[in-house]
Amino acid sequence: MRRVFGNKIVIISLVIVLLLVLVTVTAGENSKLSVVRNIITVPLSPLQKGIAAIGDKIKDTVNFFRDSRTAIAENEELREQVRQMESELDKVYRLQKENENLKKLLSFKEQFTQETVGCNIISKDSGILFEIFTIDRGSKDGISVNDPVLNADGLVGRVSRVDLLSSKVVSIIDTESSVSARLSKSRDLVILRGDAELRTEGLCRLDYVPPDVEISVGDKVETSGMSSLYPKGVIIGEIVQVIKNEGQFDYHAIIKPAVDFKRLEEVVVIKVGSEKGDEK
Amino acid sequence: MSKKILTITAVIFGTSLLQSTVMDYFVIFKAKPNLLVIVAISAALLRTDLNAAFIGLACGLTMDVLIGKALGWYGIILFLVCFFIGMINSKLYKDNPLIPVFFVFTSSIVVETLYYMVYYFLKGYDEFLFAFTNLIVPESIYNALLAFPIYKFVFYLCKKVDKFHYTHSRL
Repeated sequence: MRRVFGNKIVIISLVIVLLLVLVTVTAGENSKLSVVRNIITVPLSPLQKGIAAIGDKIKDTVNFFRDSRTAIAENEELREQVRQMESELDKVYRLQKENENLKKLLSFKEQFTQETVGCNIISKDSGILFEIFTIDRGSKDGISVNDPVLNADGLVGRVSRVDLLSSKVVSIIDTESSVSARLSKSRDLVILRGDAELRTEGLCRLDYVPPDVEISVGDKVETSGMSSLYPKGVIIGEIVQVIKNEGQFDYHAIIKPAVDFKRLEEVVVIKVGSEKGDEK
Repeated sequence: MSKKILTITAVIFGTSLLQSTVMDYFVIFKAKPNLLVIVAISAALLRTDLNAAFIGLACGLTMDVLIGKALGWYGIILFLVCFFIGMINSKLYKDNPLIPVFFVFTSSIVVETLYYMVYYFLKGYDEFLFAFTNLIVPESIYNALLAFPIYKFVFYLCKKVDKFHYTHSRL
């Protein structure tokens, strides 16, 4: 009896030691051993893709009836907007040309020239502690760790793990994420962080706001371009609340991201990492 | 032996597929059930210690892959929890529906709390109370609600597999 029990203890300690080794080896986001993840993600991702597509179809049909009611009023409004915008567009074209010429004169380095790739979100993070989702493209499509992820509204996050056919994206409201940001109006540098409590409501916080900065609700926040991760000038969101802490030098604010993380379906990944790899 | 492993693989694969896709539509009060924990605990209630522990390990590692962090923490935690349940389950009356409900509820709390403890070890536990009351407990209640039907399903599968092995070992 004792020998049997002793045997089990040996097996259990051996498994735990092996797992601890696995944890330490795969802890880094660029770890080579993350390849083992493909055993599960490669067969899983096409199926997830299919189910996500079916889910979207169902959502669309359900929403169709609701949307058709509001569509007429919205249509009128949009027509009016289109008319306005067309006149503005002419102005923009002229400015763009002018801008290009001036940039050429100054030999300005463009930050936003990388190749992009559109991706579908095929699954949300299965746990409760993180704000991570899976997209349907991986290292096969040239995506690498730390590539920025955007959509039409603004900044979504960055790629944290890459498998063969899929990759994981950490959104900016995750507690692990921090983004170097800039207040659009006053051009002050701040840091945007995910917060455990605000995350559940789809919000995040702005830290290190100096006390002499004029900051008010409704101000826009954009990426600063100071870090090498995110391109400059991408809209992040707007301030919904400014909190002045008693007895603390600087204050912080609560940000509502421009991206609606609950209804996110498609994103764009900028392939920064692959280009850097080519240079080496 | 091979049929057993095939069944376990198929169940884990199917569960992780459901977990990562369909479960997003079943979010109530920001809580989402974790099917892999329920399957692991249900299997642990029906198997002997080391068998149970390895099923827990497989479920845990799959959770690690789905979550996209370092591989192995859920693996270790579920391995130990399932081993413990596998050791004491011979003393339990398994037809009582409250047994899986109780074990899934407590194990979900233990597993998620331990993971939180490990993961935020260096970052501090400032937000622990919030995470515990708003994320971990609702998830565990949701898991407990789903425990009995999933337990019945795993029970049925176990019976099928055992019957297959029994008849084949006699031939």
